[in-house]
Amino acid sequence: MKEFLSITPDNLQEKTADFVGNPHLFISGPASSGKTSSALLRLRQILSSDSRSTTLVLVPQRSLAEPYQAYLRTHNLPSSQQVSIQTMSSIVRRMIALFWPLIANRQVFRHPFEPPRFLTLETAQYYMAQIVNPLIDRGHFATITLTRNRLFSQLLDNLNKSAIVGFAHTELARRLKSAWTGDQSQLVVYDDVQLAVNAFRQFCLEHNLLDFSLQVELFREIIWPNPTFQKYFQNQYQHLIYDNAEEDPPYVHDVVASWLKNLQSTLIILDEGGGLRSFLGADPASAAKLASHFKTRLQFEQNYVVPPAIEALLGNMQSSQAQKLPLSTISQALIITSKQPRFFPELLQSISQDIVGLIHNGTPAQEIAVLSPFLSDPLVFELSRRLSTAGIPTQSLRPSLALKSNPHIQTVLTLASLAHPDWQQPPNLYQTQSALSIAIPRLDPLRARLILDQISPNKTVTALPAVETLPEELTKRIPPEVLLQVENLRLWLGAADPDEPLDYFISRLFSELLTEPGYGFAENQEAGEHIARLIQSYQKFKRPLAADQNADASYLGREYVKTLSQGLLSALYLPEEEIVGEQGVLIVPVMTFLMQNRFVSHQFWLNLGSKGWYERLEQPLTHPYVLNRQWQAGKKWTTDDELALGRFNLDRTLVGLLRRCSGQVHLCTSDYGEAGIEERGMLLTWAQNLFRSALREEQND
Amino acid sequence: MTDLIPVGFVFHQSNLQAFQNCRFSFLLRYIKKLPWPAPLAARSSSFEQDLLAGSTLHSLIHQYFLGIDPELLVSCAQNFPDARVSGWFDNFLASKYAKITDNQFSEHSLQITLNGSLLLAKFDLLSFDSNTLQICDWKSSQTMPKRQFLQERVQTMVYALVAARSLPQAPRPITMHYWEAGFPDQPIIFEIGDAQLRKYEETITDLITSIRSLRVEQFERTTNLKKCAYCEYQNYCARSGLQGDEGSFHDWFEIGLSELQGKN
Repeated sequence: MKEFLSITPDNLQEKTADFVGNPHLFISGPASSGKTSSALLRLRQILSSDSRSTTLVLVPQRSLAEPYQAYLRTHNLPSSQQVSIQTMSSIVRRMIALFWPLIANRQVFRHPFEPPRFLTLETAQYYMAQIVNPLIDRGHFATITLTRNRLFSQLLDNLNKSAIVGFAHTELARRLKSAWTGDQSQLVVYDDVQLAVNAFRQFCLEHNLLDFSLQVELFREIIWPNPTFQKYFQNQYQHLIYDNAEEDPPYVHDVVASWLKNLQSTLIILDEGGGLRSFLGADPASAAKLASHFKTRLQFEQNYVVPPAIEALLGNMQSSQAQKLPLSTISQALIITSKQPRFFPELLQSISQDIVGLIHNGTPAQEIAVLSPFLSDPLVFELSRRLSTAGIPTQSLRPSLALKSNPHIQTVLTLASLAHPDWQQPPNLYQTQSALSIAIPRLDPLRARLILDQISPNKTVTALPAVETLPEELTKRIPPEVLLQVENLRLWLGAADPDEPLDYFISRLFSELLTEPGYGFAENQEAGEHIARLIQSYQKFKRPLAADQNADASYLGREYVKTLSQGLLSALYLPEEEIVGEQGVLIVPVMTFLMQNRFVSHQFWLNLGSKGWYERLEQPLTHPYVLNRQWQAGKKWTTDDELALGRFNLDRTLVGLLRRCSGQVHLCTSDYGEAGIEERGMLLTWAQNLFRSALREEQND
Repeated sequence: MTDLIPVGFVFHQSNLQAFQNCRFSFLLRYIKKLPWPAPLAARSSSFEQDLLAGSTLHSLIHQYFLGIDPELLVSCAQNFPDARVSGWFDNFLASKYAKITDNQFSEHSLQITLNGSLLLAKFDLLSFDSNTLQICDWKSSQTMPKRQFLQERVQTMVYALVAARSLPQAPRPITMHYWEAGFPDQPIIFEIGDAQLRKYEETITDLITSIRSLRVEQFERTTNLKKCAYCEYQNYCARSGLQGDEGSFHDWFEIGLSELQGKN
């Protein structure tokens, strides 16, 4: 990645940096036009001339703050402490905790002076399940075929949209119905949605539970207008740099707009091709309205990144004139392989070779990105492996540590279930067999199975058998020291205290047994890391639940394991998308790359035929474009709207990617895609048409 | 100098104290950032409860200095599930530290550069007038710590040093007040003059220089096994089941509290 400050400032950037001459400034322009570089120059000036005041760098997502963090990291400034990099969500969460007594005083909650119980997405889904499962049992949502966790998350998404757009959650069904044009049975589903979200909100108010939507509402309605809070907040920050305002929802713009008059200096930055997070409520039109609060507005147009061929391609895409581009220009911008591989693994092989070639010819590894709408863990693993064999480092998103499939975690949870018969969640034969052979590596799965066959006629295991009860013909086949380990494990589990908290139990199981010599986690750093994250996950899960009546250790442990098995906790709680690995070839989903605020020389686009490049996820219970401040009341969402949205999304993504490419784009496609099927999405068609018509033109000439 | 410590690394009282206790735990926790299952059972059944109660007391006092009506705060304290918090907060309100004056900064961070390294302190309360610069640190220990113990803490040195260097015009001597909520009439107060500050600067500079000079293999495990009793990496070092002392409990409690309050 190139240094943002390596760009020589032009006149516009100098104006932007001058926070004394231009204290309140709104700048806009396309990606790679030097806006963030200008903001960094401004930050540098603030820090060097006003070291006592504090600057808030506000970003919609932490990844977009990377240039600011990198600047502060590498410059080792004592005044770096005077810069606070935040998202509005993190401000909201912290301010609600800090000013909770003000909310208590308004008697919104049934037990106003008791502490707030903040919900994560996962724990909100847990409580939503308590509300919705009985509704489903009574026949509500009968026509919906979503998995339960997707159903719960869409209901929560509805609540979130009402809060961030700024309308009452009780209006959800009315808004969704008013835009619906399909089968009338869907209208009943929207009534079910309203029933569920109303009941959930009531439950939250009765139990001091704060999901994201309630946090936003309380912040907007109670905290933000309060004079005590305002005095505190004005003292906290004197300067504001708000980057990528277009990726935030309207409530953030409302807050910022009403704050402007109290700031010594403000810089708001709008990326004109943005709004990539619209499905999450980002509202570029609302962000653009912030400009009206500023006397000084600057338009950035200079392109610092894109080479002439890509510039020409961008110009062609954005022009209404149907002027053809010469094949030579297209070929300089977009590279296609001379012979398209038939299968996906061959394509990966060919991409690896191309990357190796580029690096041998002097391209730094970190100047290369491999991008696809979705990236499966096996794809990332396989590509990283191939590149690693060639000595090329890679970076990717931290792999999701799926609780249900991680062998270390699964082993511990299976053993925990065996130690807690009161949970009444006995593991099945296969889980126990696997746990035994992981916990005791010298006990192979076959022999583990033979042991378990003695006691589990109905395919579930409630306890391990005592070694002395095993038939001699079996014990002869297992070394005595391994049998001793099995017995020790059984005795250890049998001695577990049902009232011991699950995190304490796991910690002891790990240290007292599984890391002892001969057991599976001994000298296994990866296992230690995974178990630490499991404990962390449980502790976050239990935090809001612990205040429930009857929430003793046994209840909390049982609920955690049950919630996990129901798929509500699909992955460990991890921070926002985090890119890990030493600097190298970046392998990430397209959206992640676009939200990184960076550019590279070579982009490899995979899965060109996929509709994931432009189609929105199927969401029968909600609608990000109808539940939007820009949506016209009473208008219907039609198939034409859906198609137009797809085209718009594809255009925006392509322009966004091209503007972040300083060299060439490699279009990578195979006859059969990653899923083993032939895909013919709009991106593939666009690329084929582009080349075909240029070829035809050339032949005609 | 080795390049183990990344550019922009911020030293603070918790990581410096951790280094003093055990170089290896500093390496794992602050450089490698290795998550590891902590010996929860070793830390006493009330460890988490104590942390939460301590953190809530800090929040209430912070809210008090932000100007929130004390009656509301008393109601919140009374409704907190751990009854100790209400008693502690009443003790605070009745103490001399509840006096509101100008130039008081609650939960305030300051950072300086010391010999090229960043050194951060986050103060529970920093207040000054023309005669005094006062640093207050609220504690919720179950037993009253010894004066000598606090005097030798990295925290005392770092706080005084950062306050003095950040506010060079501030009056001397600086006073550092450790106020124990359970023992409200027995604050432990240190007066720190220029000579003492110079010594602190030398000690902390040496400590940081020493950390920066070490190669990976020189981050050795402590030989004082009492320090391992509550350490999250005790199992990593195959040092499980050791008996600790009050000092090591205090260290881990302070680290836990800092994390809960988002100070580190």
